[in-house]
Amino acid sequence: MSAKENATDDFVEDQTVGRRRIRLPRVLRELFDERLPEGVGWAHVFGSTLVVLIVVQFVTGVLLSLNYAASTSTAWESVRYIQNRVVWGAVIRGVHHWAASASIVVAGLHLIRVFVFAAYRSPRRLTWVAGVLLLFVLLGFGLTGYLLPWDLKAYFGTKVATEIPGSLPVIGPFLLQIIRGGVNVGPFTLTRFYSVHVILLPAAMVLLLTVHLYLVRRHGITPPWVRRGEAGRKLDSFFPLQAFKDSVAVLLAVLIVIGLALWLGAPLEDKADPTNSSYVPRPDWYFLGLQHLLRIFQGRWQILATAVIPGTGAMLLLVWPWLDRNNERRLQRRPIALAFGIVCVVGVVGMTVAGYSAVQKGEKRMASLAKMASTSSVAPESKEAVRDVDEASAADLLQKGKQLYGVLRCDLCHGPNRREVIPGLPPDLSYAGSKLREDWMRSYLANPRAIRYKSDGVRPEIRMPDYRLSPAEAKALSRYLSTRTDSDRFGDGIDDAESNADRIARGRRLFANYQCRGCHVLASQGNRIGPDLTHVSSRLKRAYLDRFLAAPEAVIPGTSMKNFELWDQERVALVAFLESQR
Amino acid sequence: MDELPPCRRRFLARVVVVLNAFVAMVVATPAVGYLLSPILKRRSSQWVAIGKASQFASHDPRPVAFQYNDEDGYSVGRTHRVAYVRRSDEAIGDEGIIVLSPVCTHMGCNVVFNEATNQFECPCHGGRYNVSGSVVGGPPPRPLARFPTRVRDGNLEIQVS
Repeated sequence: MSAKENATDDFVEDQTVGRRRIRLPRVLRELFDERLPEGVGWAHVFGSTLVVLIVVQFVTGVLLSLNYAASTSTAWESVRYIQNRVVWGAVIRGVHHWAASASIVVAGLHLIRVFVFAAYRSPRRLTWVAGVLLLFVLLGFGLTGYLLPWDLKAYFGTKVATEIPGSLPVIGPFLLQIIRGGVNVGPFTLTRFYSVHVILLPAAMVLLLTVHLYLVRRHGITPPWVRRGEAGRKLDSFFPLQAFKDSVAVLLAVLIVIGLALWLGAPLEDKADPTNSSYVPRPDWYFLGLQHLLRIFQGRWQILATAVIPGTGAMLLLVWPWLDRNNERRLQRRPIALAFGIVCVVGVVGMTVAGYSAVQKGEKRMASLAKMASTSSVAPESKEAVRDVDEASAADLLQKGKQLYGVLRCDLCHGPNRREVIPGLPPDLSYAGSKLREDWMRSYLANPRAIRYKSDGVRPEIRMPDYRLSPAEAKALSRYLSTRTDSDRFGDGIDDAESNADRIARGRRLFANYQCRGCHVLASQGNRIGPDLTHVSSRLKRAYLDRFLAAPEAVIPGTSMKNFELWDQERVALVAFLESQR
Repeated sequence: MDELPPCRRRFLARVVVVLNAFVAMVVATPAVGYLLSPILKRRSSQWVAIGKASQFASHDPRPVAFQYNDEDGYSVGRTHRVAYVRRSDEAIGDEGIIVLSPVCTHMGCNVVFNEATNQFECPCHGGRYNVSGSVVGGPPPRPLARFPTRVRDGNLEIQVS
């Protein structure tokens, strides 16, 4: 108890010495004049930094809640509104996002410092317990806050995170429903998490922080590197030297957080879409370790990852001051504590890193798919970003398409060495990129349908099978096919041909004169012998059409299309006319 | 290590004040901007048809309910409102029709038209207005607001914001 008595003595001493030059309110004066033991310095700045970060979180959190609406139909929309329309909204959101991560980091450093200095010994056991509980509260903030933007990341991250208590034996399914407010992550999960995030946890935080800070002040700072019971020399007051060090640390932390907020901002992905199957669920980084445990312990061992290891870790952390009976404060004389500390730090950091790289790997695997699947529902603001991502993964996409082409054995029917050549069917795709438009291939592959009519000479049972490709797979395959070109045959097209009204009119006359409707349908008129030409130019490229019209037999051996021996200008006009019908 | 010399104490004290003031400013600047954001919001107005102009022949105020799509930020909703429409001999508005807002100019309660007294009466603090919206009693500082009106294709339209 000597520390406490000393502290009181110091305070009285201060009063009598009257050393103060700055007039301050009594409360502040008491805080500022706390006499610190020798050895207190830069290692002791994390507590103050954490308090400031928590205040920053409170301020930015209140601001965000002014515009946020916790319902599945408005949460994402309101966050996007904050992000894009509210003055400084993106920055406030970014600060809230990064300060959350920063506070976990600083809390970890604070915990390590207290552990290393053995500052959790009696009489400061309860200070330690309150501190560890505060860490859990911080993690709770992280977990609940993660869902609130209601984007893909939020939805799937929370889905996976809530599966963890859900997988507990016996009580799991009930627990899951209570946490989620239903069987699935849905509107009630959102309101629950919001309520916990803005009411329950802040209340717990204020309570625990009050207790923690009161105890810190009451018992004073542990004199570093002395045996328990030894008082250590009391030196200068908190203000101004230690206050200066704390202020520098606070400044650094706030600048880093604001810098990250301005530079990277807070991510907002597409709105939560439970049907998205290509998304790799990823919790926030400080839960990656826990998630990785689930990869290691599976089946009957899963309970180790869901309950035993995290539960034991948390309990050990909480009761550590009672377990550690060593009176020594120097770390080298505390082998058990040192071992425990190293195991904890290495375990947590190692698991987090392993979890991170596992997620990276999974994302890489899904990258091309996930990014594409989301392209269609992307908010207009993030179109740019998506385009960048698409370019980055272009190589992956191509690779994926090539794989698909091999796996589906497309060459059997579409390769240059087709086993049996049936006139006009199936098409040779060795030059698909010169013939077909990529966007058409993409929609066709996703949903193949008949292009040609059943007629004599065509075996009607041979049709393009529907492989039920996902939009992402169709995109990959069509991208790959579009790289298969034959510029020798189709390169010198008629790209310069401007489609002007004269040309189209001429094409229309030619179309009638050559009686194309004798075999082709155009705009619902004509005979169904050859392919429907109504939207032919959204399927076939201009150069291919031109080459085909010039010499049908050369392009498709055995085709029933007649060679009309058209002049160049006639072909240009016909193609222009067909394009105008698109 | 002994106590710091006084001049160094004073210097450090000032540095501490400056550093913390800077941190406070860095956090407060975006916070204040964010708080003031609604002031900078673009205000939009639109014309809403509330009925055929020909049907408003009476000189007695008639309550007309109308609704319009109201877009604000991410929220798109349908707003329902009421206005009092009457024909007036004053040469105001299109075809002598005036459209009064029922919102009392005192504290924003909705006024009701009392046919017995031929006055608009406010239930909250007893404000009274005549059929033209002018204050005839009670605390209201201004006459009832009038919606800008116009007639398009025979429809009476009012401008709401």
